Formats: sequence, structure tokens, C-alpha cells
Amino acid sequence: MTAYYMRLALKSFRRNPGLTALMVGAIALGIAVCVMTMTVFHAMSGNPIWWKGDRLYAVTMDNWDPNDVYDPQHPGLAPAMMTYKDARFLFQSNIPERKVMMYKVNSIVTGGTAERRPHHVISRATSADFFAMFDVPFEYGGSWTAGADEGPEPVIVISHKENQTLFGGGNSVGRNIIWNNTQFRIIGVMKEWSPQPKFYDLNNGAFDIPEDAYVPIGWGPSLELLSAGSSNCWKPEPLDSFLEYMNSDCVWVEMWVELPDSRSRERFQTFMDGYWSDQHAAGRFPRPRRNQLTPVGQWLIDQGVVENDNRVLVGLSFAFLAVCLINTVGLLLAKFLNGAAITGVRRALGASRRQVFHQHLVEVGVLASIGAVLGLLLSAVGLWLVHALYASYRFGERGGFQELTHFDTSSVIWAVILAIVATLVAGLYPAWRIGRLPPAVYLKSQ
Amino acid sequence: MVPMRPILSALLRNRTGAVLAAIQIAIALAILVNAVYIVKQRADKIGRPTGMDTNNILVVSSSGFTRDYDTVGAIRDDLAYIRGVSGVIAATAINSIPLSAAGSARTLANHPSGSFTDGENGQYLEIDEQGLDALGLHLIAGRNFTAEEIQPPVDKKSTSRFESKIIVTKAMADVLYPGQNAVGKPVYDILRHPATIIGVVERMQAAWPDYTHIGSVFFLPRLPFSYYDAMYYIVRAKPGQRDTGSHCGRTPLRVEPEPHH
Repeated sequence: MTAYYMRLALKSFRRNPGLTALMVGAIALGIAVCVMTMTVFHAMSGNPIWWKGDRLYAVTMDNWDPNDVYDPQHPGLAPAMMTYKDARFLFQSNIPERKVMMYKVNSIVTGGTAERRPHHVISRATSADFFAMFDVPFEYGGSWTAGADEGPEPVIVISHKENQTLFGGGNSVGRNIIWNNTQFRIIGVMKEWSPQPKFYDLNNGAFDIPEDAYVPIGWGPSLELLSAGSSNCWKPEPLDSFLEYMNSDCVWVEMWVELPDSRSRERFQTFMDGYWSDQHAAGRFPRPRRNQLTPVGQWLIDQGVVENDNRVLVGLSFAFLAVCLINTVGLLLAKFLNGAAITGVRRALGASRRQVFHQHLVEVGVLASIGAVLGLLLSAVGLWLVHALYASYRFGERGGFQELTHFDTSSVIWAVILAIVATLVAGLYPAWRIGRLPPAVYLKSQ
Repeated sequence: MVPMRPILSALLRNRTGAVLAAIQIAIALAILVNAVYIVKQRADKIGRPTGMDTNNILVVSSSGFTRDYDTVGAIRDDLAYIRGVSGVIAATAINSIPLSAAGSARTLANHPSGSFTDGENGQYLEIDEQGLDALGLHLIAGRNFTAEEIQPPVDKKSTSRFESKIIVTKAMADVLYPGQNAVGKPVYDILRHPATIIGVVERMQAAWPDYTHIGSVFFLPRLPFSYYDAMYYIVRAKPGQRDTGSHCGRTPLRVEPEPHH
């Protein structure tokens, strides 16, 4: 029966092609706008490591100015980064299954077989657990071990992209490159990996792509590498050597721990609180105690990854869809009532109200489906345009908001959902209304 | 006289259509107002005056990375070259790119017991005697730096160093010395190093769009410290010659780096 109704629907479209095109266009436009905002919102608000949602915790302690909060917009939060000395101390704990302290550094890399000139590479000085903790996939080789952090050993992990740049993509494990004037041996090459948002470091652009080279954290002090990321200080204290910087109350180190269960979580919290009390007694931590272990999901919320404007935009796009659908309801009513005479004949020949309702709903369904397909195409084009806009801003570099503008499966799922919603919202009332018309009136008029 | 009665009765007879149209217009209006408001907020932010001659400025970035790299010598040679290019009005070395959302800020106070909460936070830029000209800023009181006053860059052993003479924006001067002429007045950093304000520029926008002290910028007369081996030159070209004077922006970037030991 449904197939027959669909044939009828197509016939009806042919009767008023202009009106049909208008309705399809309205639905397509509404769906396209919604799919675009939802695709971006989905990428923005996702938890890129959800399977570890109850294991990974950002570690923060409030070491800030007694007279001033770190972030006036979130007075209940500790600074998003740690001081080097506090991270160093907490890092000694064996309570976490895995732990990482790290910061972003800049570097100049030379070497490789692809004969590249020295070039800038954004790097990360990190402890070994980074890769296992954040489930970083490897193309060749693997991570260094914790022992290499302390030495520190001259081993380096490079990204898929950097391996392309330096070696044209071959297995480069075991080869040497010059990283900031020091020879390093490549120990691992990552597969393409770009968690969005970049949850492990939201301080330097929430949608940036991961760094292209990783060295053991011990190289930080050893090469006196200043942070190339965010670094904030509040205390009047001289910073005239790297040692003073490391011992200062400046925050620039990110710390994460993997705690498998609530028991280990409580133990680590107790450990932090104990350290806080000792330091507090010694005159540090002048502010109220805020030793926070924040799971990834909450961390993304706390750090304001999704701005209010983004939510408003999603709301607006759905309101726009509503306008398009209301428009369609009006057009459908006019169209259906126009064809009331035919419906009257059908009713007179024995079609029940339900069947008439069904027939018209199928017609709207076909209309909405065509609209959804067209809307999907429109949104793909729209996202591509936005992507191109961001790409031209950043001179073709990757990272930033353009990472969010990829048309993906979630876009298709949204289009399907919206097509169903459109059918129901736009079609229910007109289909019901046409089914309720008394057939006799229309028969008589003929 | 518009005949209202037939219109009203027509509306009443086709109530669904009228209600639908009304709702549609109402929602469309709500969307439009909200969207325009969001766009306007952003447009306002982008449209704030920067104080700089942004249309005629270009930035050259430079990285020295060998162990014995002679930063001071490199800056001297690079600037001599850039300033010799025809169409260039002025050029300076600088520690960060204006309006780039990256840079450094420090708090200054008008008395030696200043602390972070008791002073004015401002972005600081390390420039030389051509700095104000290169950025296209307007000096409205006092004087510019002289070539002799430009100090060598700080290094990892002297990062806290302050300079004895500084230039501030009017916005910053107004916070430090409200209602007074700030020229000749002392300021202190949080380590209580003193300095004298020798000049006031009309305006310069700081690097971070959401910075609460958006107009507060001060200038230190010294060569820039390259925090992570990246350093910049601001080059100001004669009006209209930034992009057309092809040898200005492009060629210096293609010049093979000279070894500086």
C-alpha cells in the first residue's frame, strides 16, 4: 500500500511542481542549517576519550594570589595548570595507575631523509605514560619507558605528519634527528591522531591539533625549555634562571592521572590534601583548599570549551527549521485542500479516514526525504565553505575551528532524524485535516 | 482608509493560515534579532580601534637556533637590511605580534608597594627607537626612545629585568595617574623596580580580544627576548606599498639565513 501511496505522491508533485519545489526547498534549507550547526556542535562538545571517562582526571591545585582569583568567571576553580614543583611532587606518587606531567615547547628540527631545511615543530615535553594514558595509536615503534624520563634519554616520538615531512612516511624508528640542537633517536611514530577537543591541553586552543614531536619531560630542565604554551604568574618573585622558574608559583605544567576506581581516587585525593597541608603550614597555598581531580567530561565543561554563543546558534538553527516547517504546513494545507475533490472521490469509493491520512503522510514523508537529501548536500557544501574560510585564515595550517567543520556520520544521522521530525511536524496536521473533510461537499460541487 | 472589516473577517474564516503566518513571522523575527545581535557583538569587537597603522604593517618572523646564535648581531643586520628596502618607512624588532592573542603582560603600579591586585596589568612590547613609527602609533605627550636608550635583550638569566624609561598608552596612563600628566611620573613593577614614564601614546590595542585591560600596553626600550627561538620584525611600508612593493615582504623571507656566530 505504501508503494502505491508513494506513486500517488509523485503524481501529486507533478500536479504542482512549483509548490512542491518551494516546500522541498524550505525543508532542505531548514535541515541544512541544523545539520551544519549540529555537526560543529557535536564535534565541539564531544568527549574524545569517553571510554576513559571515569578513569582520567585532570589534577589542579589552587596556588593563586590570596587577593585575586585565577579566573574571575569561575571563582570555584583552581588554575587550569600546575606549578612545576607541585606537579613534580605529585608525580612521585605511585597511587595512580598512570600519570603524566607535561607542557608545550617549541623546537627546531633538522634531519631526515627527505632533505628538509630546519623547521619549526611544536613539541611537547611529557612523561612516558602520555601515550598509554590517552590511547595514542602508533604506526611504528612505541613509547619510551618511565626510566627515559629521568635520564633523560634522547628518544623522541614524532607524529604521522612529521614523519611524512622528515622521512616521506617510511619506518623511521631508530633514526636520528636534531631536535633543538640535540641529537634524538626516533622511538615511535604515531598514527594520525587528533582528539577534538584537545582535552589534554585546552590552554592553547581547545581545537588545536596535537603536537608533532614528544620528548621525555626530563629534557625540560636539562635543556632549560621554556613553555611555549600558556604560562601565568601572580607572585612578586624574581625569575632570573630556569631554576627560579621551576621553583616559582607560575603555572605552566599540565597534569593528568589515571585512577581505575574510587578507592585509588580517594587515596590520591588524600595524598594531594596531605601535600597541600604541609605546604600550607610552610606558608604556601594562601587561598582556600581546592585540590581538584576532574574527569574529562567535567573538565571540558569547566574550561568552557563550548561557549554560550554556540548553544544559542544551535537553538537559532532549530528555530529556523521551525519557521521552514511552519511555512511547509501552510503550503501543504493549501495544496491538500486544493486536491480535496480527488480525496472526496477516494472517500466516496470507500477509502477510510485512516487510509487518507496515511496517504497524505506518505506524501509529506517523500517530500521531507527529498528535502533531507538536498539539505544534506547543502550542509556539506556549507561546511566545506566554512572550512575553506578558516583554512584561508590560517594559511592552510590545520587546527582551530576548522577541525570542527568536517562532514561526518553524525551529520547524516542528524539529517535522517530531522527528516522524520519534519514529516511529523509538517505533515500530521494537514494530513489529519484532509482526512476529516466531509466527502459529500466536494462530490456535490462537481 | 483601509477596509479593515473584510480583512478581519477573511482572517477569522481562515484562522489556521493566519495563526501559522503570525507564528512564522514571530519566530523569524526572533531569529533575526538574535543572529544580528551575535554578529554585532563580534563586529564591535573586531571594529575596535587598534591605534596602529594595520593596513601598512607586515610582520617578518625570524628563528635563530644554533647554540651560539648571535641574536643581537642578527637583529642589527636584519634591521639594516629591512630599513634599506625602498618603500619601508620604519622597522623594529619586537617580542610578539600585535593583535595575535599571544604576548606577555605585566602589572605596573604608581607606588613601590605595588602588587598584582593593586596596579594596572598591561601587555608589554620590547621595541627600539623606530618602534612607535613602525607600529604607526601617535605619541601625544613626552618623547620617543632614542637609539642610545635601546638595551640588549634579556636572557634566561635576567628575565625579570625592567628598564628605567618606558612609554605607556593613554589608557594605561589614565589608570596609573588619573587626571594627571603621566610624563615624568614613576611606575614600579611587582619586584619594585622603578621606571619613569617618558612618553604617552594615544592608543594601542593589546593582543588578546577578551583581555580586560584591552587598552593597556607599555613599551620597553630594548631588543626582544626570543622565548622559544621565535622573534619578529614589524615593518611599516608607505601607504599602498605593503603588497605592491614586492621586494618588501617577500624577498627578505627568501634570503638564505647568514650564519651568526
